[in-house]
Amino acid sequence: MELQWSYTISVIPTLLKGLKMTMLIAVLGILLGFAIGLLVGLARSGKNKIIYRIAGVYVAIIRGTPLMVQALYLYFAIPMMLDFELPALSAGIIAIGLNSGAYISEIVRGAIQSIDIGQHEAGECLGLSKFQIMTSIILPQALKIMLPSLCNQFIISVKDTSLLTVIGVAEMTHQATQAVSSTFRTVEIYTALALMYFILNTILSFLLSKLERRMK
Amino acid sequence: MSEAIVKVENLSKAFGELEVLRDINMEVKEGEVISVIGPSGSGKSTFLRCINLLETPNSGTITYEGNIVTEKGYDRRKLHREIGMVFQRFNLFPHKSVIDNIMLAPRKLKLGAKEELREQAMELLAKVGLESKADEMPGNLSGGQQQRVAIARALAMKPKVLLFDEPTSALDPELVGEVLKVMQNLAEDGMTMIVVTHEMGFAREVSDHVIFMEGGYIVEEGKPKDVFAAPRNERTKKFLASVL
Repeated sequence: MELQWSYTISVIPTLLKGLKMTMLIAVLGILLGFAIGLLVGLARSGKNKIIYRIAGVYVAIIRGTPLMVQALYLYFAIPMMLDFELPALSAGIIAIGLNSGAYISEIVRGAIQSIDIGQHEAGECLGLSKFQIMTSIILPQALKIMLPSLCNQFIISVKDTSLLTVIGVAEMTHQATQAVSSTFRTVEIYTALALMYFILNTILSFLLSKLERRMK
Repeated sequence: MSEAIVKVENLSKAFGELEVLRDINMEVKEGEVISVIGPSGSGKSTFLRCINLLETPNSGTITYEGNIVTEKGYDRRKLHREIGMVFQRFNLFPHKSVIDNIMLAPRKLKLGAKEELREQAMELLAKVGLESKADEMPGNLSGGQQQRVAIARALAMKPKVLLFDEPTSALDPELVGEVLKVMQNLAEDGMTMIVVTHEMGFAREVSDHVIFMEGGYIVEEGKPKDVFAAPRNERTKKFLASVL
């Protein structure tokens, strides 16, 4: 079979359409994941045993099952059981959010636990409430520690969006697969796809490392 | 004699099997400076940390201004607002400038308008001799300067009692003097202070009352001139001989 590399170029506009969707899901997903991760991480650092257990079960379930299965379950199984419809895009964002949230919660927990206990005691001895100690003393310091790991998790989530092709979200991998099935230019198009991800993540890595340096 | 502001009765504390404090009794009157001395591991710091409930005693009572603080339902935050603490390792907030370290708690607890609190913080910095460092980050200061900021931070809450947990033990020897000087000024201003210290000079010159602890017990206490010049207990004698 003769390769025609012009297809690699001509598929790019289609992939860019998918890229928008990929970024939309990744950004909204990671924001949701950060919110979940923060709450779960705090629950896992706190003293309430029941909340700690519940948070632990969530983390165990997410870590113990593949993202693709989570997406399938969220998009097909849960709506069927509860008799409602969930748009593929929403299911995709929630899947990325729930998935990254579990990993982010461990990042949050680790960062909070790495802050010297003396910081907590100093706040307590000044008469601050637990909430005030957390928001104005512990978290600002913990965020700095978390940042590199959070950036890393963001890149992972960008790549993870490709798995959402199984629920038919029109992200970049889905667009490429569609293009392949209508042209049979497998090598040319998947090469373009791989290059797109590579370039995207290289740019993101660069931007994120710049952000990290600015935060120091 | 006036009523005691802090009163400790039959206080005991254990960490698991390890008994750290045994049947401690003590009282502090307003304006009094008490030094707690003794070898490492004698329970001095734990004793201090029990007074403001950073550690929960196993038994005994602690009374502050006539209220039993070790009882369930006592408002710990009220206690913390009125009894300040200075730590061995300063525990300044590294992400906040010096002035923001001092203003953080008064701001969060809405003790005044921002400008007013800033003015007050600058006055406190002047008191500890560090007005010029207001906008520095704590990491850029020497240990002695950091500890003086920590004292100013505690004073910003206008505490009625100030606890010092080995405030000079983490300092290079040449920086100890500047911190002790600030503490001495506070004592002269009439601040009620309980100071756990290894600085025998401070204990002897500045305090009104010295407590010697060993093995979780108060072994001997009294006026500094008596305890230092004529210790009655053998263990006090031994300890003083080893440090003086």
